[in-house]
Amino acid sequence: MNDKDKIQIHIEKGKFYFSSKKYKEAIKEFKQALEHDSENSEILYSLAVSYETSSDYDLAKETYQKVLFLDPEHELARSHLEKLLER
Amino acid sequence: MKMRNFAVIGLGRFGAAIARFLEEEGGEVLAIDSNPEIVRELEHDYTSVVEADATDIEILSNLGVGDVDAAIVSIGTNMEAGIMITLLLKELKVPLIIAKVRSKLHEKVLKKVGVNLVVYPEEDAAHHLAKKLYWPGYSELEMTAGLSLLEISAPKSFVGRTVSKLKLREKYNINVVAIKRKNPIIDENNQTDYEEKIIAPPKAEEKFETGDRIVFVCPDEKVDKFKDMK
Repeated sequence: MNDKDKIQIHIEKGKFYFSSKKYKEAIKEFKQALEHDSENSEILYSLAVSYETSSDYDLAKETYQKVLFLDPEHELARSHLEKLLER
Repeated sequence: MKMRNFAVIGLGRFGAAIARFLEEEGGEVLAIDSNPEIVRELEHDYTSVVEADATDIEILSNLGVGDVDAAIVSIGTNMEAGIMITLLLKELKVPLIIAKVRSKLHEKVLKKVGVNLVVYPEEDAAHHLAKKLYWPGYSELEMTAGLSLLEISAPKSFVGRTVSKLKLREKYNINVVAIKRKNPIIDENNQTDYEEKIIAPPKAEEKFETGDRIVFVCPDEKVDKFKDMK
């Protein structure tokens, strides 16, 4: 299996766990996907949302910031981050 | 009955901000300042902003200040003008007079001449910020007469347990008014996100979930109890 497939499997598993409210497991999968592609802003965004949804706001902020560093045009990440900073 | 008509006298930073918020919320706002430069600067921001001397009862009366539901006096530096304006507002029978004050003495004097409510904007903002810094994750929404309306992340020990099982009222003297729950979604772009659902008021058998935020009312002196709750 090549890296691309491995990444896709981790992403899909992550999304499955996320939808099932199993955030810890989702975070693990997204992190594993990032091990193969550390600068993928979409995976980082999914990781950030998982942190935020499970109330880990500090890590969520840090991860949204990473998304915006890689992709300054990422409007969703910006709006989530702004909301968190207002807290 | 909802208040609709307001007069804001003194358009410094605080006065201008409150006039803007009231107008944004759908209120009719008459904004008054004696400084022509300030009025010129703000005249495009509000529907009704006038340059006028608010210490003249005839002017106030002609402007229709006697018909407002509430007047906000936001004159911080000139205490005498604030007192004078309050007396005139009283004479015009304005039902609710709110004043921005800078000191306890200022508050005392204005209350004596008829101000119903005073605000210390700087002090309130400092108090709010200090609380936020001291208790990260807490967000205080409003305070009134010894009660706080607070929002916190549900402690881990709450997850999987029901509102009634936790006996929050008996144990901590708090009343949960709402639970904000994040529901995970995968959007049309196959992207993870969440939707926030507000459960208000929660039923006794509602179980707390990971990521929930609890909105509750509690006496000020009990707020501390939540500081170390995990």
